[in-house]
Amino acid sequence: MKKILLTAVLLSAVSLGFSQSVFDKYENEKSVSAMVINKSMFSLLAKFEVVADDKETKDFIDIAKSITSLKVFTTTDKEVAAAMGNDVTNYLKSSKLSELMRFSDQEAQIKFYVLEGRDDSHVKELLMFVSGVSKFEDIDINGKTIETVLLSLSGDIDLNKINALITKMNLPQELNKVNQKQKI
Amino acid sequence: MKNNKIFQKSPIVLLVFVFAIGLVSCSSEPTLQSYFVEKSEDPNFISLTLPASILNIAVDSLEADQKEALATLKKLNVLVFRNNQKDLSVFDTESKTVVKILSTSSYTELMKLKAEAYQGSVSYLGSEDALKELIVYAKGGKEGFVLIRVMGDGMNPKYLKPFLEALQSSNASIDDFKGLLPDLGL
Repeated sequence: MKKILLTAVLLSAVSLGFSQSVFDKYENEKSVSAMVINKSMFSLLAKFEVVADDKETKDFIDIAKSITSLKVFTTTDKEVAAAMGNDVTNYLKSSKLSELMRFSDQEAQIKFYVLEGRDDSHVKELLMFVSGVSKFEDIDINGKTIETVLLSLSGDIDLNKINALITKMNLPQELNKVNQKQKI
Repeated sequence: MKNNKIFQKSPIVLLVFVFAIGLVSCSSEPTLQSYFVEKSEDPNFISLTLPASILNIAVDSLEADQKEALATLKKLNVLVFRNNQKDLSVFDTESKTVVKILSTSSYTELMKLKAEAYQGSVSYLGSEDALKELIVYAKGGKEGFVLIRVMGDGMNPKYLKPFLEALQSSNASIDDFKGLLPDLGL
C-alpha cells in the first residue's frame, strides 16, 4: 500500500515537473536569450525596498511577493521561433489557459493567455507571446532584431499592479497592454 | 571464552565503523568551499580573496544602519577559469562541476540569465533574511568562467540600500585594486 502511494506521489511529482517545464528546454537553446527569475529572487526584491512611500513601490512589493516564477525567452532564429509557436499552441491545448486578448500592431502579433485566479483582476498564470516584432519596431540587441518573445509569469498575480513590475524590472513594454482590455 | 572472541574481533569492527564513517563523509555533497580550496592550487585557475576592509570605509562616520549593513559583509572570494586551450574538455568538465554543485539543495537559485554565448546564475546559501553567501556564476562562450562568492554573516536584503550608501563613503582608490590585477591576468 505504501509503495503504491509512493509511486503515485512520485508520478504526480514527475508530471507536475513536466507541466512546468514545457518551455524550459529553451534555457539551453543556443540562439535563445533567456531570463529565469525564481520565487526567492522576488521575495528578496520585495525586501530590498525598505521604505515604500509611493504607489509604484508599494505595488511592486505586493506583486513581487505574489510571483512564483518569471521566464522570458527571446529569439531571432526563425526556426526556433516557429518551434516556440508550436510549443505555445500545444501547451494551450494541454493546459487550462484561455485567451485574454490578442492584437496585431502592423506586422506583429501579441497574444495574452491567462489561467484565471481568485477574482477578475487576479491570474494564476500569464503567458504573453509576441511574434514578428522586428517588422514593426526597431528593437535590437547587439545589432540583431528580436523576432519572438515568450513570457511566462506564474503566481497570484494582480493585473492592476503589473505596470510596477514592468517599470522596476525593465520588462517588455508590450506586457502593459494586458491592462488595456480592462480600461476600455 | 566467548567474551574474549568478541574482544578480539572488536578492532576490526571498529575499523569497519571508521571506514564506514569515512565513506559517508566522502560521499557528502561537494561544496563550493571545497571546490575553491581544491582549485586554488590548479594552474588553470586564478583565485583571489578580497577582505571587506579593502573598501576602506571610515566606519566611524557612518549611520547606524550603514554600520550594521557593512558589518555583515566579510569577504569576497573570486575564482576565474581562463580557457587557453583549443580543447574544451577541461573547460566543459569544470563548468559542469560548478553548475552541479550550485544545483545541490543547499543552494537556492535566484535567477538565471543567458544571452548569446554568455550565461550565468545568481544563487545564495543561508536563509532569505540572513544570507551566508551570495554566489554569482558567469560563463562566457569558450573563454572561461568566473565564480564570485560574496561571503558574510547574516546579510539581509534590507541592508542593501544602507550598504550602497556606505559604499559612497569608500576611500578605496583604484590603486588599491591595481595591485590585484596582475593576479587576474588582466
